Amino acid sequence: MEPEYDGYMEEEEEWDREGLLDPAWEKQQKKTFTAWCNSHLRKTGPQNQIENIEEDFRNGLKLMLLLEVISGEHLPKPDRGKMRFHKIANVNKALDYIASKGVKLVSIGAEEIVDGNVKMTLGMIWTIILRFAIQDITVEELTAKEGLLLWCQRKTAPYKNVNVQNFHLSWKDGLAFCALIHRHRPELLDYYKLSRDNPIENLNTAFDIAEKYLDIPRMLDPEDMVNSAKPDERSVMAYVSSYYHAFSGAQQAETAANRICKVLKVNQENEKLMEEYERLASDLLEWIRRTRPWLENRTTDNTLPGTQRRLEEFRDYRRKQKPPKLEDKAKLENSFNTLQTRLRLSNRPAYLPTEGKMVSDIANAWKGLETAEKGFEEWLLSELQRLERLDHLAQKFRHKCEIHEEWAAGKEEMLKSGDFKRCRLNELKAMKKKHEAFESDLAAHQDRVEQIAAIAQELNSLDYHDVGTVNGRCQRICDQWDVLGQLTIKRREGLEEAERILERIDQLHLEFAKRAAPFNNWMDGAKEDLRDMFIVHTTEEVEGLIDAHEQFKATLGEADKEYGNIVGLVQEIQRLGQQFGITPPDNPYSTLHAQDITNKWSEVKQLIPHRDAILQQEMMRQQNNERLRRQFAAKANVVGQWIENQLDAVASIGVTGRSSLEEQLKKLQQFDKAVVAYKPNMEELERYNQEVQEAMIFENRYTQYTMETLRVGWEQLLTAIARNINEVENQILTRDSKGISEAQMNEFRMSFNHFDKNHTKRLEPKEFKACLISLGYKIRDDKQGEADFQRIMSIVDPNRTNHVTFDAFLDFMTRETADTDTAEQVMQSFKILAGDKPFITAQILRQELPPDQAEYCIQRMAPYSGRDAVPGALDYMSFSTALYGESDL
Amino acid sequence: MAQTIVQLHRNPGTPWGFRLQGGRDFSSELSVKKIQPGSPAEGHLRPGDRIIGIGNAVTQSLTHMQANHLIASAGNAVQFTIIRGPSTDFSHIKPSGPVKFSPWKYSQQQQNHH
Repeated sequence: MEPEYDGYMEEEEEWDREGLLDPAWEKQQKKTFTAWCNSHLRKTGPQNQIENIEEDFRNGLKLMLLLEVISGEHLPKPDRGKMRFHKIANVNKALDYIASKGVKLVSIGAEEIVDGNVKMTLGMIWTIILRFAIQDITVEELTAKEGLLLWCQRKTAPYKNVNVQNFHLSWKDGLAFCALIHRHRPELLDYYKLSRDNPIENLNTAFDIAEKYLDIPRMLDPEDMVNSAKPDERSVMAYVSSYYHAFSGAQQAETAANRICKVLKVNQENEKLMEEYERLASDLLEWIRRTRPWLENRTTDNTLPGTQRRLEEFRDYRRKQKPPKLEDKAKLENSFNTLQTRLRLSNRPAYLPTEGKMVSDIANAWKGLETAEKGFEEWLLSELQRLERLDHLAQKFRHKCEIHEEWAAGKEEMLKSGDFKRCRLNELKAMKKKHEAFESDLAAHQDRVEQIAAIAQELNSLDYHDVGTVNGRCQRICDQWDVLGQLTIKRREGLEEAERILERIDQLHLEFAKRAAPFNNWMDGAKEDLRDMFIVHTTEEVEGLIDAHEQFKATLGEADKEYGNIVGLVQEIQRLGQQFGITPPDNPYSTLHAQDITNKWSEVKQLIPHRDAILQQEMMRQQNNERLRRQFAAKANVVGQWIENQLDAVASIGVTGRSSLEEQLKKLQQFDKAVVAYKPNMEELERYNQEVQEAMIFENRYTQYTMETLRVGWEQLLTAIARNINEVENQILTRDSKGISEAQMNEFRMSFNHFDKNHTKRLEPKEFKACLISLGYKIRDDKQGEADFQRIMSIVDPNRTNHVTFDAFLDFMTRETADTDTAEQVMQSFKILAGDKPFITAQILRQELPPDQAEYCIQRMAPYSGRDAVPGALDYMSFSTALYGESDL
Repeated sequence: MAQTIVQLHRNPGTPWGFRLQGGRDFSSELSVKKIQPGSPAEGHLRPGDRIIGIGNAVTQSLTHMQANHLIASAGNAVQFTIIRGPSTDFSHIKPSGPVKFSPWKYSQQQQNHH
């Protein structure tokens, strides 16, 4: 610090104390320094301010005061005299003090001050200002004036229109002052509205604001500043230093204030912590005090829900109530610790809580709480267990009862049921089995009932809260159990008796079935037989039937007995049923009912006489048939024989060849007549036959002949006669037309007949061939011969019937012996009628022929157109040929 | 059955010399009944021949007179389609002399006597 004083000392030497002070500056300094001194003096009261700087410090009192105020130290007591020497003494005290602060006061004497030397006084004040307001300024590495200047430069650096280089001209436009204010307290003026063109305004603005808000009285005069070429450096410095102190002083003050505040805060906080601790401690202890009894409460309502609720409350306590308290305790501990730490750090004595609220007290109380808690929880849990057990037991009881009651439901009704009195044997057996099963089941349930009783007992002994209900239910179950037992026994007995009865009935049923079926079959058979529609054809057959019937009747006695037996069985069954009150079941072995048997039996019995009658009827019928048969047979035999005889006779006619054809014819015609005459016999036979047929007689052992055979025979006879007649007539015709003699005819016939081995009046080709050969025809046994024979066959059998009739045979044999030209013959006949002429007239025709034939011929004959024709001549030749489908070309 | 075509010629005014028989109206086949010796038909037609065609016509459905007219209108030359009838010439096999009845006749006669 010593070197700085040198700098300061230099400054002092610049000053010229004898009138070199510019009057303007003097004026300025006076204003400024006055203001400056007052800025300090006002702190001791407004009365201590100076008005006149050269006067007011003359007695030195205010000077001393000023120094005290500035330094904050005490100066020696001022002399309270009014004498000059007192004043000088006082001023010296002041100057001494200043000197004691390291200021070498050169050329400032107390007398000059007492005398009121302005220059001296101003000088002295400047020294004070320099020493106490400026000297101690340190900015970066510069001190005092340089420091202050640097401070101004630093603070106004941001303001481009301000350039502080000194403490005179740089401050003329007032912007520097404004900048300084704005820099520290921007809210106090709107800097950027300022302009260097308004220096007076600027200065006034700055000085006003400084006075108003910064508590820096006005020390400079704006007009002086502006009007003087160079403002007083010292004045400016003094004023600016006030700014420095205000702003940095403010900072210092702030810092100091902060420190104070911090210290105060610490104290306050400590107090708060202590209060908090006390409060928390009481609360906690109070809460513990309240809570413990609750935790120690061992009363119970003996119910699980109730106890569970308490556990729930406990849990709630543990979960919701205690944690905050635990927090409080922790907070308490923390507070305590924090407090103790803080006190220790700030070198204070440790905190001692009020009695009863000590850490140990709290810890003890808390421990007690937790012990109580644990005890309570344990107790609750064990209570719960106990009650749970009871409850569980009660549940078990109820559950078992339920199961049992469910099982037992309907059992009484079932056991009382009389169903076994109305069922079949197999159903009964099933019921019995079911009952056996039930008995086992019952036995099995005995156990359960005992268990139920046991649990009830336990609940009673454990003093279950709802023991009344339990006992009631248990009693009901036990009573019912007894009843069930009894009913079971009774049912068993009933079932066994019913079984016996039903078995007996079953036997009877079986017996019935065994007997009834065959008997029924026998009856069915008997009915069938008795109703049997028979067809008999002989009396023997009827007799047989009658015999059978009689035999059957003989068995009726036995049958009736059997019937009785069967019915008896049924009656026995009924009786048994009634006796034991059991509904007999249906017979499982048989679909037959006694009633059916009875009905059928009476039917059978009715049918017997009925059959007798029918058989008798039939006998009569058969006998009648016999009569009819005989009747027919008698006649048939006669007729048949007669027919045969006739047939033979007819067949034999002409066989011998001895009789003439006419004789044969005559005989045949006689036969014919005879046959006609015999016809009534056939008719009679027909009538007999009709009777036989109507009587449904289909065979007749009395005769070989049937009506059919007789009819056939009759027909044959008629046919034979007719044919033979026909044949004979034909032969007569043939003979006559061929002009063969009777003997020749016979010869031919005999040859033919000889080869007609089977008397069919026809020759087969073989026979015919043999015949021809026998008659001398040279038919060779080779291909040629066969061809020849075929030629012959095509003539005699043009229709290929494979037979040769006698006529054809005769025709072939005689073909060259007669002119077979029938058309010629007719022509010949006409010729004869026409008198040998080649034509005929109508007249002659009408003359010679029957009228019809004559007209026929007249109409059909063509006129004759020969040279020798006469009018009406008719050509009979072409007519003749045309008759036979012949014509000459 | 083999059909044969037969051509007949005659001098005008001469009859053919055969008898025609049959026809639909007589329900019999048209055939030759007999031949006049020395006629133009002799040697060409034979009795028993069946006439199944006259010229180009088929005779099956012709009546006797229709067939007759057809032949008559054919002029002096006529063609027949015929099926030869069996020869009725048995001259080579028939017995020469009167029919000899068998010796059995005699035995029969003798039988009859017994």
